[in-house]
Amino acid sequence: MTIAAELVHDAASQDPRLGLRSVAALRRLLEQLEALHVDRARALGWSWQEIACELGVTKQTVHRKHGPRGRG
Amino acid sequence: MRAVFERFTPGARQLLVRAQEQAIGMGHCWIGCEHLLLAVADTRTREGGLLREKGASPQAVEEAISAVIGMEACDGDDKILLAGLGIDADAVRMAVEVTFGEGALRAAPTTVRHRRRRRLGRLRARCTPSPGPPFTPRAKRCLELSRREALRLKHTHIGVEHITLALLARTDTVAWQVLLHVGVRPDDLRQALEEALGPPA
Repeated sequence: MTIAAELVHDAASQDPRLGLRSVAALRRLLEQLEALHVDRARALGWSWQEIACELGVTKQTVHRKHGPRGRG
Repeated sequence: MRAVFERFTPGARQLLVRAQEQAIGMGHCWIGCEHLLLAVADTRTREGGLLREKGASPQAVEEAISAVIGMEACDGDDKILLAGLGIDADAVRMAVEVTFGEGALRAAPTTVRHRRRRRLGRLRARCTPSPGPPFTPRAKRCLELSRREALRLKHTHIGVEHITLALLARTDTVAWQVLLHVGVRPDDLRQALEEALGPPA
């Protein structure tokens, strides 16, 4: 662990705000990764159903989120 | 903590505010001993003058902080927050770029639908702005130690000089490493400061 990581960890141990913000940061990263991989799968001709299966969610969820009307 | 702050001089209180501004300015989400040190180096006080005289200018201290904690000042604190979880954001970015090309992760949308965003907007309006970054446990300990420094010198107030002495008293802080990095011996500095303050009243 770097010193920066240690400092955040120490501060987060005293303040839930930092823990919550870490979760939000992780979620942003996750959303970005998901968007990249879904786009790539679509470009390679995968169906929404196939993508949904691999992500472990329903076809509707993926389509709603990543389909043409999903992204804002 | 409140009891600690009660006897702080206006200068000392201002120093804490300045440390917070420095932390935010560097894109850090905590206030540590290193930011207190940076704030001291940046004040027009005897202690600030002493630090600068020895080569610990605000600029040198800021550069040393980035070098010691192993992270540049950054715009958002996502990278630093992820590091706190043990995730190396740079490693993730590099892994992604192998497949998706340079800058892919930065360009990727964080998918939030319009309808949800509007609802989020209403929720945000109800949120009170969250206060600044918290002090690290070591920075808190340092502020408590400054009270003891004042007691030792038989001073009834706690000023910038006592906080500085406290910063120079512990070897386990980032501030200590930062001083070594800029080539200042904390012991020398502490001695010089003790001499400037004179013997206990």
